[in-house]
Formats: sequence, structure tokens, C-alpha cells
Amino acid sequence: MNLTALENPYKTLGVERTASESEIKQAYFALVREHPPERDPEGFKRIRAAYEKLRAGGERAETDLFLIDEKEAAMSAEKLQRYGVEPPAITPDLIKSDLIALEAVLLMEEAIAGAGV
Amino acid sequence: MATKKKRAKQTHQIQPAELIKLAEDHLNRGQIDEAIQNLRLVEKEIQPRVTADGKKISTPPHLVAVQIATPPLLARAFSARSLNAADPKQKLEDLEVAVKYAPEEIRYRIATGACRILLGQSEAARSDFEKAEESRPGDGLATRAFTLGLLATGHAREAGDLLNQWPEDRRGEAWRRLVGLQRLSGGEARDQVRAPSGGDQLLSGLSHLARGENDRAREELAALPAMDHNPSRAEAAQIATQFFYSGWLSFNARNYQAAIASWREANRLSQTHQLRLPWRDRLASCYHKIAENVLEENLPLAVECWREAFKLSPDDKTAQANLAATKQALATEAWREGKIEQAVALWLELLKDAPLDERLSRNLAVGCERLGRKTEALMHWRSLARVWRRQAKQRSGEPGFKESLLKVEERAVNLMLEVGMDGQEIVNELEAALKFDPDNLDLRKRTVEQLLEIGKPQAAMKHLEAMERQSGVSADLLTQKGMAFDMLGRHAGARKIFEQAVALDPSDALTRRNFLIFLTQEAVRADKRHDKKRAMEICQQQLSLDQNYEPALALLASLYLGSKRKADAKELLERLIATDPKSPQKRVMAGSIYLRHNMRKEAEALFKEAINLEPGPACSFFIGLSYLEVEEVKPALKYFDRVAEKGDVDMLIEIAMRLVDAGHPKEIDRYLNKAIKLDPSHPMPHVVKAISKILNPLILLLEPNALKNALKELEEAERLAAGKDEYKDLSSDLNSVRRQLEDAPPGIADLLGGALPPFLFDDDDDDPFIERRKRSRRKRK
Repeated sequence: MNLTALENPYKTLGVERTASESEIKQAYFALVREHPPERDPEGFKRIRAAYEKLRAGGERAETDLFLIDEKEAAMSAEKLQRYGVEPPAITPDLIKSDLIALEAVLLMEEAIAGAGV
Repeated sequence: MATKKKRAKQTHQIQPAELIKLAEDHLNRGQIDEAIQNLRLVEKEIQPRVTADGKKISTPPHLVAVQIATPPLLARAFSARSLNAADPKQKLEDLEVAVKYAPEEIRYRIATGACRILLGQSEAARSDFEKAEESRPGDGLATRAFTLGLLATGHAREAGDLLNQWPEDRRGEAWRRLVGLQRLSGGEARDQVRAPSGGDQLLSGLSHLARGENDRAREELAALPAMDHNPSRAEAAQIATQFFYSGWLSFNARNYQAAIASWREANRLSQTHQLRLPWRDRLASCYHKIAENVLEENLPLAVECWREAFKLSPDDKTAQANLAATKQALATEAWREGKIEQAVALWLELLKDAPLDERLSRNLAVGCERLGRKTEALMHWRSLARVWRRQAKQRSGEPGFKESLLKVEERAVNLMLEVGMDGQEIVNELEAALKFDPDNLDLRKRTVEQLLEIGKPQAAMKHLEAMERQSGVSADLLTQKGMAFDMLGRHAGARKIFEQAVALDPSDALTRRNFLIFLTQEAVRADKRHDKKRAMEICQQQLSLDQNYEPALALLASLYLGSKRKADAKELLERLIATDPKSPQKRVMAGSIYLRHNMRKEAEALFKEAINLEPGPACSFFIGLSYLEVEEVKPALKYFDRVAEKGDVDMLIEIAMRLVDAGHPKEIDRYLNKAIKLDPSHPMPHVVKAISKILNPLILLLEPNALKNALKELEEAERLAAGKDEYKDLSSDLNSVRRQLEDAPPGIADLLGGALPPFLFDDDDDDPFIERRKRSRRKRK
């Protein structure tokens, strides 16, 4: 298996990853009709190479094994969970309560440091 | 268990007064838990006791002082422990215990109240502060606490009145902060409280923020106090709060990177100092908000935010799920753009949370292979194979599943072979795959090959029999069977099987080749048991199968020379040379056979021809080796010196190693020094220098500084090999060499009973290495 080959044969043949053997064959022949070797040798080569990678069980298994699915990259908001909690608005009361908590920390530190002295 | 009991018993035996002292020491050293443990033991000892009829037993005089000293120390210990606890509930529990032990100490009560504020129990806090104030009216800290209690419970006006009554000399930073807080609380004092002065940026910034003056607030909060020391916990609490609000302002202005940087710092400070300030609970929602906002246009930033949210709260399932989904997307995007390392790093992160995820294992295996990280790739292929093998039954109907599993197995085995893994492990992997697909002849054949490779012919035979039952005999199968028989020592049987194989398919080159190899071994065995006649017959048989078979020509020629059949030998060696007339190697080979039979003239003539054909260093190298083999060191060195003129580093190292093997370590330096000159970054010349000393105890024993020099060479080799991928495996070898060197006797001194003979080690009198060895020797004695 050529690990550097990143071309997706399913994409080249225009079939789904779940396509059956006959669907793959059908797609291949349809493409060959569109790109016959005498008119489009390069196109035909690509189509043939893609078909070779999927035509038999062994080859297809190897192709699937090394083909990292591009679908995984498609990120959409629907795939994600919403947190559902908005950050609270910063109000004078919130600031005050934060400062009181901070003052409590400072007081506690000083109290314990000076205790029993 | 027994040790624990023993230790506990020992502790009980220590006198309470000593335990008190020990606890004080622990407290002073910050070993709070140990102090508490000891003080609890003392506490048990000094508890008031009663007689059987209920009468109180008075405390023995020597324990009275201990009885007085214990509770305050326990209070001190618990309050100290409370400071180190991050969880306010735990803090409160410890402080309440401290108050119980030292109710007269108002500071513990004040600390308890302060802790209650952090837990949102403001009324209870005020009550604590009130009690403290009542028990010591006019105490500065108690007044400050009470003022805070009033502010926390919404009594801003009363707090203002109180602040106005503070004596002038006590109006320091705390007073200014409380005045600021009081103003923020909107309480009007009956008499106007004097405005705070001084540069408290946090308070000033937050006052602006509370009034909606965000720009002013940002300016104030961005300026950090100058600090030339590690912040105390109190300072850290203030700075962290400042960072949080500074971050919040950046967040509000959609400057997310700056916000994240500030919050990260705020969180770091609060974690380092075990602070639990209320704003920390707001961070998660802020991170989620940023991630959701930037998801479409900045996926990496979204990942960073969910990562921070998850770090803040490992129970955050939303962050965890979103992080996994975005990381996966980011990784595939990186993969598509060819950023393989980045993709692999992300998949590795994901795998930590989902170690059985087959898609991740597959991606990692493929990615690591692309990066040339074969060992890692192998690990992932194997883990994928394990997962799939477990699922084999339930997924047997799935199209392509079996083929995929077999491909994974094949990949794993190939990599195992490539990285040079232990043969038995390869066999295990193959046999595991065979369990899944017992009819797979290819797998079985590879298993047999491996078993033969690791010298397990009996096990190989079982597979061969299975193959025979399944598909009958073939030349290939018979060849493997012949090899197995040969390994089992059943040479006659092996010969028969090989003959069958060749008869079955005479055109099969591999079968014939294996038979020829077997026959070579047979001939060598016959030669070793001095059955020259049989050895010759076998060689002739080989030549009847392949008239130019080189090992047979060479061995038979050698046998003829040993039997004084010079003309026959000459004819064979001429045939050997004629197989490739332009090859210098064949001439060197024939020459070395003559040399072994002391036919110097013929040998030298062939060597000369070889040199004429190829004047390069390689030819000289092999001629030198031929001389070394017959222990003619002088001519060997002559040829090696020619190599040294033009040869490469590897050749020079090889010469040195061969000389060491042949027992001439003293000759190696000139070749190794040349090698070092040619490539100063090559570690191997130094390794060989070190090894040459280990292999020769005489050098170690008699040569001054031999051990020291060997270790020096080894150190140099380690230095040169460090960080270079191609020498990764060398480091373990170097360790073993080092161990051997360190275990070697330090010199003749050991034989002489320890005293270092000055004539040998004069220059080492002050050598720390020798000193160390002297010391360790004395210790051993």
C-alpha cells in the first residue's frame, strides 16, 4: 500500500464508502464510458487505479484500512452539545461579592498567621 | 503489617513531652499531618481518667505542662492544615476544630467567619465576627472582621459608621479596601467616609467597571503590581482576581486570545495557592461561550477553550464531548493538509480518553507509519487487531471485516519483522490470527517460517502437517519440512524430503537453493568429523545440481588441497573465478583458500590480480582479513594500512573490531584515531576503544589508567550518541559496557591486597575516581 497516496478512490468513482461490489462496478463502467482510454488516457488511468483499489475484497479492505475518512473533518454546530449556561453578566453586586470573598481570603490569611502569637 | 504494628508500638513508647516537642518540630517544618498524628497520641495519654468506682484520678505532675500545651498546638495544627486545603468545606471543618481547641483565641474564630463568607454563609460569618469583637473589644482585626461581616450581610450604612470610627493610626490598606467596598455597596454613611487614596488598581479598576467605565477599568486592571518576589497567598488572590476581570473585559471586547491568556494565569495562581475564589466557577461558562462563538471560523481556538473548560472541571461532560468531536475534526483537517504530526498528536490525545476506539487506533497506526514511527505504528495496529479479534464472532457477517482484520494482522507482522521484534512474539501474533482464520495457508506458512527462524522446528512441524492435510504436498511445503527435519537433527530424513521436493518441482529455484544450502551444511558436518570422502561426495552432488555453486566449489577445492590434489583444486578455483571473471571478490576468496593451505605464492598472485581489478580500499580490506584469519598479522596490517589511506569510517571501525576479535587490541588505535579524524561525531570508534579494554583483562590490569580511559571513551561515545535517532539502540549497549567496566578490577592493586603501587598509579594520587574505588574497596572489605 502506497501510504503517500491520499487520493480517495470512492471519491474518484463517485460512490459511497458503503457501496456494494456491483455498485462500484457500475460506477466504474459508467466513468469509463465517459473517459475512454483513447480520448482521456490520464482520466482513465485514475479511474482504473481507483477501481483496482476497490474491486476485490482484499484490496478494498486494505484501501479502507489506510483511508482516513474526510467526513470526520466536517465539523458542524449540530454535532456539538450546547453548554446551556451563559456567562453571568458582571454587575456591581457581582463585583462586590467577589471583593468581599477576596477580603475574606485576606482576613483569613492574616488571622491564621497571627494566631497563637 | 508486622512492621506497621511494630512502628506504632514504638511511637507509643515515646513520652508525651517528647511527642509534643516532635509535633512542634513537625509544625515548624510544615509537616502538619505528622504533627496532628503525634498530638492526637498525646491527647489520648493526657485525657482525664477515672477509677472503677467513678472517682477522678488526678493528672500526674509531669503531665500537667503537657496537658496545658496540647490544645493550643492542636489548634495551631488544624488552622495550618486549613490553609493548605483548597476546598472551603474542608477549611471550615479544620478551623472549627481549631476554635474548639483554643476558644479564647479570637483569630481562629475570625478565620472561621472568613471561611464561612467563602461558603456563602454570611450571617453565620457575621455572628463569628461579632463574638470575636465582643470577646476582645477594640482589637484591630476583630473590628476589621466585623466591618466585613456587616458589608457581607448588606449593612453598608452601619459598616460606614464603623469605618468612620476607626482610629486614624489604623487606617491602612485594609481600611481603604473596606471603604472602597462600602462605597461600592452603595451605603451612605451618616458622616461621609473619606475617599480611599493610594494605588489599589484592583479596587479602582473594579469601581470603574461597576460604573460601566470599561475603558478606564481595562487600563487600571491591565497594570499589574510590581513584584520582586513570589506572591504570598494573599497577594496571589488579589492578582488572580485582577487577571480574571482583565480577562473578562477582553472577553467582552471579543478579544478572546487575550481573555484566555488572562484567565489561564488567574487559574494558575489560584491553583498554585489553593485559592477557591467565586469567579473561578464562572470561567467554564465563559470558555464554552467563546468556543461556541468561534467554532465556525477558528476551530483550534474552540478546541483550546473546551480543553480549558475540561481542565477546570473534569466532570464537564459537554466540554469533554465537544473537545473530542472538535479534536477529531481538527486532526482530520490537519491530515488532509498533510500536517501528519499534528494529526497524530491530536489522535493520541483522543486515544487517552477512548483507548479502545478502533478508528483512532487505525488512524494512529497509519499516521505513525507515515511519520516512520514504526514501533508506535505497530503498537496501534496490534491494539486494533486485539479489538477486532474480540469482535470477530459478532461481526463475522459484516462485509470486508475478515479481510480487514487479516490485513491488520499482516501489517502488524510485517512491522514486527521490520523493527526486529522478538521472533516468539511474531509467532504469537501469527497464531492469534490463525485462530481467527485457521484455513489461511499464507498465515500458516509465515508462522512456519518464523518458528524455523527462532529454532522451534517441532512447533513448525505441527503447522506443516496441518498444511499437508489441508492442501497436500508441494515443493514449498517439503522444503520447509526438510528444514525442520534438519533442525531436529534428523539429517537423513531431511535429505530425503529435500530430494522429494526437488523431484516434485525441478524448476523451482528456491527449492533447489534450499537443498543446496542443506547439502553445504551436510558437507561441513562431514568435514568436521573428518569424513573427507563424504564431504567431497556431497560437494560433487551439489555441483551436479548447480555446476557453479560457489560454496561447493570453494569447499571442494579446499578439501582437494587438504588431500594433496592440487591440480583438481586449481581447476575448481579457476571455475570459481570464471563464474565472474571481473570480480575481485572471487579472486580474494580463491586466494584466501590457497593461503589457508599455506600456498602463499598462489594466494599473493590472486590478491595482486584482485587489487589490479579494484584498487579501492574494499579489496585491501578483505585481503587483510584473509591474512588475519591465518594469523599473519604483519601482512594483514599492511593491507589494513592501505584501507586507512582511503577507506571510510565504517571500514576502519570494522578493522579495529576484527583486530580486537583476533586478539590484537594494541594495533587498533591508529585505525580508530583515523576514523575519529574522519568523523568526529561518530560514537562507535570510542565504543570499540572501550570494548577493547574490557575484552583484554591484561590491559585493564597492567596499563596505567586503562579503566579510567575506557570509561572516558564510553562517556564520549554516550555524549556523541545522545539525541541521535540512529544510535537509539546503542545507549542500552553502552550501559552494559559501562557496567562491565565499572565491575572490572581497578588494577593490579586488587591483586596486591588493596595498596596502590605508587609506580603504577603515581599520577592518580589525587584522582577522585581512584579515591572512590579505594573507598568502595575498603567498604567491601
